[in-house]
Amino acid sequence: MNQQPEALPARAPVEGRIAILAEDLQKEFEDPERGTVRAVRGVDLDARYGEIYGLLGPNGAGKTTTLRMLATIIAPSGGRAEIDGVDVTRAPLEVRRRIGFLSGSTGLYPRLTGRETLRYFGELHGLSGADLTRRIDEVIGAFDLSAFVDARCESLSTGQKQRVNIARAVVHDPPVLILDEPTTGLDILASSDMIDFVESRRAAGRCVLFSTHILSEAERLCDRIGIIHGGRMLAAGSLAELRALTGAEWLADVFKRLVKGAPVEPAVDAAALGATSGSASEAGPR
Amino acid sequence: MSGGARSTWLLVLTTELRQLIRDRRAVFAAVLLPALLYPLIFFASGKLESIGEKTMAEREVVARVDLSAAPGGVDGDVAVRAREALAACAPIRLEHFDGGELLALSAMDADSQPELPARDADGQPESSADSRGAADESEPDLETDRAALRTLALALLGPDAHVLVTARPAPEVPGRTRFEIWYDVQDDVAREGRGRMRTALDSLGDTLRVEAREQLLGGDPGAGLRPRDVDVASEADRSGAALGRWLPFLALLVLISGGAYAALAVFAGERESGTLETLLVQPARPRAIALGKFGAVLAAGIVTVAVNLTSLIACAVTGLAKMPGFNGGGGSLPVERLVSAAVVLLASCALLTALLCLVCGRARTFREGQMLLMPVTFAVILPTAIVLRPEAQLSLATAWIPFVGSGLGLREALEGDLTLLLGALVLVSHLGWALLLLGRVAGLLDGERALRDSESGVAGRLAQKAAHHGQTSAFVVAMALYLVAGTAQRAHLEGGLVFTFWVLLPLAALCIARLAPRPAGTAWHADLGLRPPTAAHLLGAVLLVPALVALGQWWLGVQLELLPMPQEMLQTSSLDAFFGARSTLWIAFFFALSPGLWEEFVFRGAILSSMRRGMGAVRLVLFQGMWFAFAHSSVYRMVPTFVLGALFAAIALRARSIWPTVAAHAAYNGILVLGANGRLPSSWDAIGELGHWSHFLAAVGLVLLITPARRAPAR
Repeated sequence: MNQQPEALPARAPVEGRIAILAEDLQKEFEDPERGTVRAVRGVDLDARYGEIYGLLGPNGAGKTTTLRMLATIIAPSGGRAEIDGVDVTRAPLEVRRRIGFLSGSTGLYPRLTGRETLRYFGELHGLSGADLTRRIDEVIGAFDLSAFVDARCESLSTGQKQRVNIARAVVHDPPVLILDEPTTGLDILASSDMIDFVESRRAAGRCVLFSTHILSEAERLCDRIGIIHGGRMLAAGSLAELRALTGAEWLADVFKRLVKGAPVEPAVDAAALGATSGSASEAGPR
Repeated sequence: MSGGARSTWLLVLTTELRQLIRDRRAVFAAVLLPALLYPLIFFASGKLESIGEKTMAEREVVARVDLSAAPGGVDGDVAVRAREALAACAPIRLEHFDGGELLALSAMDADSQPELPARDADGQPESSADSRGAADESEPDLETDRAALRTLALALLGPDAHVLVTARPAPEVPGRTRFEIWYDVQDDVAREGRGRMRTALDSLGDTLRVEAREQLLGGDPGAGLRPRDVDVASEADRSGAALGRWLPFLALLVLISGGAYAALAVFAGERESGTLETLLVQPARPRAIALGKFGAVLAAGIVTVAVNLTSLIACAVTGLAKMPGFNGGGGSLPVERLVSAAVVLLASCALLTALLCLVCGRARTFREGQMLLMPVTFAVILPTAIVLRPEAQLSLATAWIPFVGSGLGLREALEGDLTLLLGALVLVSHLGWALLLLGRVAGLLDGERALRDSESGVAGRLAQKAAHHGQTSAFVVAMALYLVAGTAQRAHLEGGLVFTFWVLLPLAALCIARLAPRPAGTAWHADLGLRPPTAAHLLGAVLLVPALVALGQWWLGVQLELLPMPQEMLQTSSLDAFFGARSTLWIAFFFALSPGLWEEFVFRGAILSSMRRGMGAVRLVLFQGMWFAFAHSSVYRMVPTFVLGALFAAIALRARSIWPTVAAHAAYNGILVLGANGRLPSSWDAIGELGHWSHFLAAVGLVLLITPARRAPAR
């Protein structure tokens, strides 16, 4: 029963082909104190191989919930989503083979060394023997981990931990990377390393979907940007397309115009609560 | 993907074990503590005991003696020999005193109710051997004017003396002497002196009896008539029987002590460190992850049990401890018994490990998991306690019951009575239960649930705070009852009782309810559970009382097997002594109505309401039982008070009101206290005579309690 299911062969990433697809993706959950909470109200997005797609939105907009649905951590309440052509609801294990996921809350085992961590997660993805050793050596080289890869994670600095965590997320060389605010809490050097890493994945023809509320990051990195607010995708496109849509020059102005012009709906279902709240609140499981 | 990949569960298992081995706290809990615990305990207790014995044996006892009332007078043969015997109880200083008044006062009692048994508690005088050695057969009654007798005895003892010794003619046989030893049981030296003198006077009684017999009959006509016991049980049988009584408990308790930390580390610890989310985006099935983690906890638990038992055997073999069943280190047990016991033990450990995993998997934090372990311990130990009842036998009906079957199976395996069929049933059923629980554990390894239960949500934080508030309040109330109320009641009984029940507990309930974290818009006084119940719930709770009394007594019996109560506490005379000539109304008010009302006000009102916000019904009921037992601060009644606290909590939850449990609690206490004090026809007999009627009433009560509550609680 516990034998790892045989993996379906992942399609080789072909630049331009759709890697992530979401259609009318929704998430509701019941909160004993707040009633029905509608965290995501219908998000559409498509991200392609060889592309960096940025999900931009204020706190509580639904970014994290959307990424978690795409990463199969939580199940959508409505709509559909596919990763590399595999439905996230029907075949979550297959989706997990195709993604590398990283967020601020994905931790490392403190008593394992970096190398043991890479080996463990590589083996969970079905790698073994020489293949596994080769991949571990590759990521150690790629992220310059050799100086501390045999130290326990509990003894590493924040930046070192983040590099081990990135290596962990890509040790199985996934075609799709989903990163939830990956630079939050990092110092300048670690942030810079992260940005370099994201660019390197695009160069390797992988698809990177990441969320952020740091506009400069999105402006520098993203081929396309989706602006999300109140659980809805307000607009999506390249920076040039968004500028044309809003008539604003800078991304900050684009963002402000889109967000301020959007009808505001409460994330908490007012009817369910019998309340009259009019502002979007932090909704959805983190 | 390459071939040869290890199974996911095995991968998780080895990784978790690697982390546990590197965790100093886990190594301490699973290896060092169980290895060093017994040597340290036995060494320390042996040292303390020898120091205590030596110290007491060296203390000089001051005894005031008046043997003038003995037949034959102070110079008679018996009195002279008694004085010699007492003088031999060195180190001792004998002084003379005039015991006439004491003898006169106690003689009045002796005439009134000569059938009462001996008593030696609460500072009451203890009577001793008569000249024929009939030490315990006919003691003076001390019921009437006991306070005056006590006052007089203490006055005669004065500040310096420890013991008074008197003699009087034995009422049963003219011309014979009865000695009486008067002492205060709370005085250590007095107890020591009483022990020495009693031994000396008993020995004198034996000598006098033999001499009288020789004189009358020229020999002992009973010689050779005394039956002789011949134990035909083998060493293995004796060891097995002894081990079977305590090994089931020990193994489970040890497993909890060692496995609990491991379970907390691999579940709650993983959630706290954020690695659970990492794990849940890997292509691994939750059942495989659960099985791997379970295996790691089981391995830690088995290592703990093995180290613990090895340490215990080592203590027994080296003579550091005298353990029943370990004569010769337990090596006298045949291998087949040990193997079958190990198999049953393994099944039991597997089930307990799965339970630990489930509990720790539900915990949002390490600390919360630790709080859940005490109720788990109760939930495991209570069914296992059945092994102490000789009438409980392993059968097709009991083999599959969790921890009951395994406990009885282990006992019978050690005794050599376990059949293959029943052994297999225990094994299969307990592994089946474990698998069922593992399924639940796998269900906890779900991202949605993990995130929903995380501390991040406003509701989650509120729930956790409320549960924590309830637990802390229960602890504070229990400590206040122990320290403040106990002190007040010792200083002045009635005043202390009034203060406890009508000041301390109401104030505590109001404070707990007022300070409890609650959702906005919820009234604090709703937490007191004062809403009116339905008539069905009120009646149902009262109808349960006869069965509750019987159940409480049954569990008390089980507990007494496990932890025998001191003789003084078992004697009904100590209750008589306590209540004395107090009125029935007084007893009913202070020991039935007051605790029934105010203990429920605190525990099933304020504390339960706060805990309810942060925990499910099962956990809540277990915690309520635990705190109720703790608050009664009697280790000898912990099991029955736990059971009652849990049942009252279940009733209050169902009724959403404290009034049904107030009625049941007051009625329960009333029957017990008044019955034990002879104010009822004899409660236990009366309840026993109800027989099947109590079952019928309980069944009706349960049906009534199942009916819906009046309205939804404002929690």
